[in-house]
Amino acid sequence: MKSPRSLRAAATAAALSTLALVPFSGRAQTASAASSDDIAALREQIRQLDQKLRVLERNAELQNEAATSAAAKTPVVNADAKGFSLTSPDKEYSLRIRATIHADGRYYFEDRDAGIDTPDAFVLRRVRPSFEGTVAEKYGYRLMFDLANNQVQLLDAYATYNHSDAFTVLFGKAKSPFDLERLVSQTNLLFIERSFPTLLGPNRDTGVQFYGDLLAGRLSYQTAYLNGASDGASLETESGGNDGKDTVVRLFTHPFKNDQDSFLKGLGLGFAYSTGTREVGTGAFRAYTSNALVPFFQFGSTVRPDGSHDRVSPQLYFYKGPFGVLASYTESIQEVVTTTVVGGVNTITPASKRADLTNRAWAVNVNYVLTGEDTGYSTNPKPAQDFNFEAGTWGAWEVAARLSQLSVDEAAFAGSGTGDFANRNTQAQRIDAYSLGVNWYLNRNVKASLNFEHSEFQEADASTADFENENAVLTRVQISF
Amino acid sequence: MNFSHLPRLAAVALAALALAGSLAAKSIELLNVSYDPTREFYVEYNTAFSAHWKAKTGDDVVVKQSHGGSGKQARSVIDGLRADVVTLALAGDIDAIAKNAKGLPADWQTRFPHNSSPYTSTIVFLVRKGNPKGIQDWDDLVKPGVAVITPNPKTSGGARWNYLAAWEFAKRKNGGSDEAAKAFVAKLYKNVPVLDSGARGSTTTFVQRGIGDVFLSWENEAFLAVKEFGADQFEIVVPSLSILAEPPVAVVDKVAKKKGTAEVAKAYLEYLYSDEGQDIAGKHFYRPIEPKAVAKYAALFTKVELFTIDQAFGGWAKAQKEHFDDGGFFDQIYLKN
Repeated sequence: MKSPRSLRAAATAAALSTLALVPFSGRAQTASAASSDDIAALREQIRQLDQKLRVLERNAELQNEAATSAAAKTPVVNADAKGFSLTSPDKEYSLRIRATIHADGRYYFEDRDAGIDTPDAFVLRRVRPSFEGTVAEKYGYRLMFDLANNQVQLLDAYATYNHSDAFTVLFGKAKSPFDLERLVSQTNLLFIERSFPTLLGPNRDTGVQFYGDLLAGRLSYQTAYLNGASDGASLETESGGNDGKDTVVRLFTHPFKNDQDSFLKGLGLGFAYSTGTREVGTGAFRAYTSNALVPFFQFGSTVRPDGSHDRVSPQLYFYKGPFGVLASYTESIQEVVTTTVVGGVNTITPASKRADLTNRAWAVNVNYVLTGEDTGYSTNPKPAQDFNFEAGTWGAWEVAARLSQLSVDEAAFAGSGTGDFANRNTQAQRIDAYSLGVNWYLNRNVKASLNFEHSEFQEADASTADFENENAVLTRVQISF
Repeated sequence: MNFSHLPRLAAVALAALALAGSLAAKSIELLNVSYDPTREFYVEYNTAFSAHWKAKTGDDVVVKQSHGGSGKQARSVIDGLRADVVTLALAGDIDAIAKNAKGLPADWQTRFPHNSSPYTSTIVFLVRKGNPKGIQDWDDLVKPGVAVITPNPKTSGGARWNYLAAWEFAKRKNGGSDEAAKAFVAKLYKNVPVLDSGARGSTTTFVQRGIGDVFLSWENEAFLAVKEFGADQFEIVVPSLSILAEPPVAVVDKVAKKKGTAEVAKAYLEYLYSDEGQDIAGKHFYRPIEPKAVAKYAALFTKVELFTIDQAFGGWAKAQKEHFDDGGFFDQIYLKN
């Protein structure tokens, strides 16, 4: 169908042709006066025709404008690589539904001594639906559950008030703003399991957080006042409340962020500090595990935190094109005490032993995207071409290597018998881990990972314990949106 | 309960606030929801006000503008568009915001001088060069073969002024008969081939799309068309009678209080009455109201007999109800057409 504009052009051309032929049509010499009238009449007809067509065009244009305007007032339903969302026309209200599934496989080359028998297994490591969005423009919310292991756990549940880029306040349960790798989203992990510094930092915790970006994004600050989670643990794993509370402060800077041409544009440096007190009633410690999730150190069953608990963590990353490096170090300094169970309650007695233990961990991760896509902190490479077998395109491929270590304070093994706080015959004092990984990003929502983990252990007492090296292969298929 | 941690919580909060407060520049953003032909005027005025406010307080103010048919803009504010201030074509549209969105008190018009109208305007005819259809007054608009461009009174403030001016002209000419006026306006709208939603749209229809013989235009919009497209293209015809259009301004309290912009929003509108504000209005072909600017721009505006909405129609509320509400005279005329 012809548009009104082309109709107008055609009609005008036809009329002009007719007009041009008029002087030459029959008896030209005798009809000159009549022709003059005809020309005037035809001109008027053309003008009227032209006006009618212009009106048609304009009304069509106005109808389009009205349709566009009406669309702007309609809530926007979106389904894309970032999930499914519903947004009000003024963008003040939104709901985004997301989910992550991690289907893992763990294969151990040999089982370690010391009575640890780890079966090879397929596991659903994470099954996490989440709901997030905004209400009344400046208020945000997020709910995230984990359904893995046939349990329902509430991981994130918080509300935020975003005053400006420089100041946001968060109330509720969220990741404690301490550990660099913990703060990487679950969907963007370089290795299948995070490394040892996360075992010495807090995981999710409940309280209030303040954060924002300053100096045109070059400096980020996060502060928090939280119930206080044990090392590597979320609050839900603790058996009791903690009246002591943790204060967390983290500063992170990107000094060259706004220098477009700087080689160091992707450099980030930061420091995190937490301090608090923990009470004996706050429950047992979580075991430290290898990168293949096999426990290698656990405090004695009657050992409890009691007193101050401080952590420090310098951290950095650097990303340039397909290359990235991320490194962090964490020290956790904590007062612990041995207890006696009286009436089912862990109780401090005159015989209790105390110690101020310093546990340390570090990790260095290096990655390179073989297919050339950019890498970054807490972002996955976006495949230049999605995997399509028929088309012969293969998504993005990445290789990664990691060195990491965690050492437990030797004082943990001191004392009479097998040790006051940890059994030196069954628990390792240090782990050194070497990790290699390959990540295949089929598209922005599907990722497959293969990791090889080699761990070496240092016994607290080599005369009584002998930990063999651990070799494991971990696999993961991730679907997220 | 252990209260010992409260000072630490307060310290963390205060530290964050102090850090954010000391390092983040204070920047205020206002949204001015206005009608169609004020675009160019407010671009210049906003720059002037931002400089004035910066000099006075040290704070940066960025004023965003939204333009469209006045009635349509009022509807958007009622529907939730977060306007700090509205500068619309007629009081009836701001009354609608006060009534339907409870965004400001009913007596909003008493807050600023001159019934909160810092400038006025009127309706004139813009015709093509040489005035080929010989249009001189309102009754030329109803002649057969004359195509009249005017926006839709349902959505455009300017169109309502046009409509009422035509109505009053016919009524006076026919001995005060509303029936005759109604028939006259009905005949006029039979000559309207395109109904845009706002005055700027009608300008586009007439000036850029080349449709119609005469455009019933805001005076400032007509001047602007002649200025931009040249006196060799268009001429302005001033009819024997026209209406005194008093475009009003108001702070939308509900939004400004919520956004913490009440003070600067009030100052923004007050500055329209300043020497600089009035001068910018005159420069953009609005009729200033303060004596100094009135004198400066007196030569620009042709003298014409003007009547007010109160005199002829008993105010906007009455005119709106009788003529433009659903089922009113305009619906009767236009739907019948």
